[in-house]
Amino acid sequence: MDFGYNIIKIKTVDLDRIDKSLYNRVVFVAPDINKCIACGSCSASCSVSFYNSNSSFRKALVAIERDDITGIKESLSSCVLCGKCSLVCPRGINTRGVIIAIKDLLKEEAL
Amino acid sequence: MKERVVLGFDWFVLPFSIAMSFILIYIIYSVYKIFKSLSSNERRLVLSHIFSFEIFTTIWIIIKDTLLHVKIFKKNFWLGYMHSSIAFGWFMLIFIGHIEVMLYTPHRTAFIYYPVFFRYFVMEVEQTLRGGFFFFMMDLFLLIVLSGLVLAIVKRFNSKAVGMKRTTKLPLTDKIAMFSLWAIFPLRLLAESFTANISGGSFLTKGINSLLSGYVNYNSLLVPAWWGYSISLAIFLFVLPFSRYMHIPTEAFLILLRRSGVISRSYKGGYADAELFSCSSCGICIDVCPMSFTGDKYKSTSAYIIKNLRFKQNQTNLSLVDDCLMCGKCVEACPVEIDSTRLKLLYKQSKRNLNSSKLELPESKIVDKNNSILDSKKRYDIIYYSGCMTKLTPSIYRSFESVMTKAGIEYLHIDKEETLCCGRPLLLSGDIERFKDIVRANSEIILSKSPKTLIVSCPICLKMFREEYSMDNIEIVHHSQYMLNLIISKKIEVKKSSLEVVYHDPCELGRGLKIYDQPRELISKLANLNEAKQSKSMSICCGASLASTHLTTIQKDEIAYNSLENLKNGKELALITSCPLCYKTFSQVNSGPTMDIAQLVNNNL
Repeated sequence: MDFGYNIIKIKTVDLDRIDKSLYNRVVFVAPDINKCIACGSCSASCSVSFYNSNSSFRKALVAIERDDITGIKESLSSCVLCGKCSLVCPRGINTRGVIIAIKDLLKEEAL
Repeated sequence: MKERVVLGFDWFVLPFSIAMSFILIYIIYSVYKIFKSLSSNERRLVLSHIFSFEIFTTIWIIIKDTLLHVKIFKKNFWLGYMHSSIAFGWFMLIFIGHIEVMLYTPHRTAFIYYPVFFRYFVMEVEQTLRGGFFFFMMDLFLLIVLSGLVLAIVKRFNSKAVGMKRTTKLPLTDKIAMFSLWAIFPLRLLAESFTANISGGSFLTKGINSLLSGYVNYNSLLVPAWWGYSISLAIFLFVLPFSRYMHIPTEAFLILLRRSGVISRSYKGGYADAELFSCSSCGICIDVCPMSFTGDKYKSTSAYIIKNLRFKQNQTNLSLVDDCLMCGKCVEACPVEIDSTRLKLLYKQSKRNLNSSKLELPESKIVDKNNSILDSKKRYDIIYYSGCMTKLTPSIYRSFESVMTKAGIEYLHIDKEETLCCGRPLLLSGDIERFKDIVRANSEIILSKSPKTLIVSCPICLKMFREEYSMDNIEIVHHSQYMLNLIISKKIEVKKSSLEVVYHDPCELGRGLKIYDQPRELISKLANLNEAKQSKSMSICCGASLASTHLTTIQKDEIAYNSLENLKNGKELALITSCPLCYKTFSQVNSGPTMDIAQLVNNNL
């Protein structure tokens, strides 16, 4: 029966229960990500955001902290590595290095 | 000249003879292996090159590069002298040794060791002018080799003395080969000097012989000296295939392949192997690499990466290769012309695309939204593509637009709102599949306007459009070239200001596309142009290169400061760039004014 509305999917994240292993491995390869202040400059300058509004480095970092693999894939799948985000980052994070590290790790897990 | 040893044999020739046979078989085998791994088309290229007149030029180049080392001479006299004295001197010793054997003991020509130990086996019965001449030549070349050897030893312990800031650190096999190489010629000198009263000699060997005759008993030392000489040669030849000295036999083969038009298709096997084996780890690329100014990153320079690719292919070198800025300066400086950036790129591509089918990232849908440019049907002759980096430095495209408006030219700024990358960063990171996606999307958008001219502000995009996209019949130019044409064809008038400027050659525009003179011509019409300490093909990358994904921001800044210091050289100069990425980097570290070439034109209209 359709009432014209439905109940949204619960998006609760239990921070005590999430698996932090992927995050820790990324930190090991690219310790830069601990410097992030989630200001969003990277998302604002993103080259592909016109074509894919989910494309965002900041979202990817949040997703990886919460061990949300689909979230990471959504936010990084369109990345063209143009590097504008690293040029605007006020914290000087080497964003492209982080993105490549995440992709390489995901690829390793997939094998 | 008479034979002293009846059978023409002594036991000490054995180490050398065995090692020499081993190395000859090894070289023939590896040449065969490389030749076999070439594709049939490449093999045909090589064969047709060998049987054409071009081969004479190739032989001349081989002599010039492998024996005389003209290229190193041009860069650094002492290094050039060191290499050519050892290489050419040694070659002449072997060559004249063979002539001696052919003249005096023709029945021994087939003996592999005879020319090397000639003086042990013969005794001088009468002094002739011809014999004196050969002895003199042999002593002269031995002296030349020894002088080069002294330089080599000095270089190893104090590289600054011969004009190199750094030299390569050597693994054990290289060290063994190097020390045995150092021992060969002094031992030869001793052996020949001890024999000089029997076999005869010239100024060097005879001189030492008479000098030491009062102190040394030649009869007891003669054979041990020859044994030492033979053993040091044998060690060197046995270690040769596993050391950097493999470049001695390989380089000539590499030149032949390169001149035939073969290029590397993978980071190993075939031509790539010839390149890897030809690297002598001389370390010239270390000094020129922008990364060597960051302190601990010298291990990521080409010399070390090539060594890793050759000996440790199974180990992961990706982080080392990811450091590289791919600025191409090491390729320009390399005396062997090894295209190391291409090897690194192929390495990245093969490692990142490995098992890409199993990659769980969804199929890229970069262009799933319609582009409004595609919807409008209007055609344009001239299209301006500013590139994504120019979006971060809007003053560049605004200045260029203002110039175009003043010139009264109708054009379309195709990526003003809906910007899409040219694909270079993806290509450089090794992700070819997604790169092809972008090429398809961009080509569709640009070709839908059927333009005649494509103006690009960003040298990175320019290189991509020219080399990776198939845009036939479209003239693809950099905005500096286009503005120069506008001035020459009197579409815009400019006045020359008294500003003192220096021009930075972006890597992709300069070394990448060999566009050095047009931006300079344009700038000299607008301001007083100064040259940097190292410019044109030796210009230093600003450090922001898209190829490097592993350097930290601090390391990149260090490179930028070093590059800036080279450009300004302590003077008060305005910095002119023609690349949005260089502009962005330098404007952050430069205390003085930094301008793009378009801004300079716009200011002087």
